[in-house]
Amino acid sequence: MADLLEFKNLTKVINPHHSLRVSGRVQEGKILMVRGPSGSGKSTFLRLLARLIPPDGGKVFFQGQDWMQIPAPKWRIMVHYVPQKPVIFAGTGADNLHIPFALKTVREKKSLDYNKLEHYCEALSISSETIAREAQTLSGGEGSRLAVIRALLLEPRILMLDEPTAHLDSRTKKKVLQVLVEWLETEPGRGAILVSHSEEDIEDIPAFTVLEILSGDEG
Amino acid sequence: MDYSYIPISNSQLAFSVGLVLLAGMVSAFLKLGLLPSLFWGTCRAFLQLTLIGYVLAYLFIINHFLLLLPIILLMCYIAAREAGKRITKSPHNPTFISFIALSSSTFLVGTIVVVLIISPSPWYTAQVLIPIFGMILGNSMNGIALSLDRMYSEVYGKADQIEALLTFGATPWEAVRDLVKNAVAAGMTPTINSLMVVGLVSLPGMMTGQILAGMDPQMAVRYQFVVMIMIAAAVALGCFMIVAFSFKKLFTGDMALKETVRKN
Ligand SMILES: Nc1ncnc2c1ncn2[C@@H]1O[C@H](COP(=O)(O)OP(=O)(O)OP(=O)(O)O)[C@@H](O)[C@H]1O
Ligand SMILES: [Mg+2]
Repeated sequence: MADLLEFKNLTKVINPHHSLRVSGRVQEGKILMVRGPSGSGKSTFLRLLARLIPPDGGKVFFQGQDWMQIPAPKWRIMVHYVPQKPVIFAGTGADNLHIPFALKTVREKKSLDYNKLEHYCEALSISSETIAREAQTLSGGEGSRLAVIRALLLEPRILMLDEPTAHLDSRTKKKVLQVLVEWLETEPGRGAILVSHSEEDIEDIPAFTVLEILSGDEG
Repeated sequence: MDYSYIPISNSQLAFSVGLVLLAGMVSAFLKLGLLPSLFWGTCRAFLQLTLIGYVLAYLFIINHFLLLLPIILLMCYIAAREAGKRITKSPHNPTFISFIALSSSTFLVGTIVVVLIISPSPWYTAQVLIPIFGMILGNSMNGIALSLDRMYSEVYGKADQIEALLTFGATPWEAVRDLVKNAVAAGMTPTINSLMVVGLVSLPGMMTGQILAGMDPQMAVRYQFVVMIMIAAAVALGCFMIVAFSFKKLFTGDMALKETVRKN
């Protein structure tokens, strides 16, 4: 299967006793599961790939192209990161979904697809009343689902989700994973990275590889 | 010129110092711990004003452009340093960019006012140039300090939102645009407020001074109006410039938020 993203010796010095140093790849149609103890650097790894923090070494390629040859705004849409703590802006849920489409780099390429919006909301049980509400009043789980929908609507090539199921009950959890798998399969050329502590999650994912991140003492 | 003012004698001056004691008593009573700074502030104000009285008298006599230019630049530098001190939240020393923003906005607006509106002859008459530039500087300095402080507190408070916008493909400017707008507005608000209430709640210092010095109130009002409008223009320009210069310093070459900003 074709490699979408490849990272070689991607390094970040987290503190004097612990450096993150990982190599691996994300394959088309597959999920890279990132696992490791709390504080080992899983979120740091995703933030590195999103180019939100500079690495201390290593190389990253997207379909063979060096990542620095792609302008950061474009890269961050392609290899898109959804943080562990969902970021909700002032305004309604719908306003939140529109925010990316007001930006120049996104606007030039695509506009919000309302059919998809409806589809994802339904699949993740976000009702139209919920969408119309002041987004700051959403529950933690509703907020993180809203953030996932916002990311899916951006249509990245690689979607990086940082523990999107952490605050969800097992049924809603399954729905999120189902939507992710469905999204991967609807179009070729998509991949995903998922940080997850939960063993259950694996049952719902047909195709994945695992990246183990070691804790400070072992690394 | 016909100075029809009422002079203040030395004993009257000394009597006014007595009023500082009142402020001192309040400070002592409430244990505000302000006595040293109150004392020091009074001494400094007295010394600085006395000195500037001599300097101004000298400048007005010499009245040469090449002498005025460095003096005004020095004023800009002092104002920039003072603005820099008041900005508590900046991750870097903002004196340099403050100086650029202050001097360019002051020179632009000040020159327009002095040359085109007041037009003394010669146009660089120190008696006009120094007080006008000084007034613009004082106000711009406050505006700039407010703007920068607001910008940094917003950036620290909303770093998550800025990063989220970056992940949506925002350019650095798009990611901070709203915060920058708030920051410029914060710097301009006091000036706009003073435009609203001038003459109703307060008679501005300059106008008061001119009326005390015996100027026809009608004329003093005209001066005051021009000065306030020019201050508003200079403050707006200064705030915009300082924020435009410094927002870039928040980001790395790869358009990410700097880690120093993130950790604050
Ligand atoms: N901005 C920062 N400044 C200082 N240390 C940081 C910063 N961000 C992360 N760290 C540290 O780096 C280490 C790795 O953090 P990271 O968030 O990547 O862990 P994680 O594997 O995602 O943990 P968790 O499972 O709890 O989310 C932690 O020790 C964390 O405290
Ligand atoms: Mg994490």
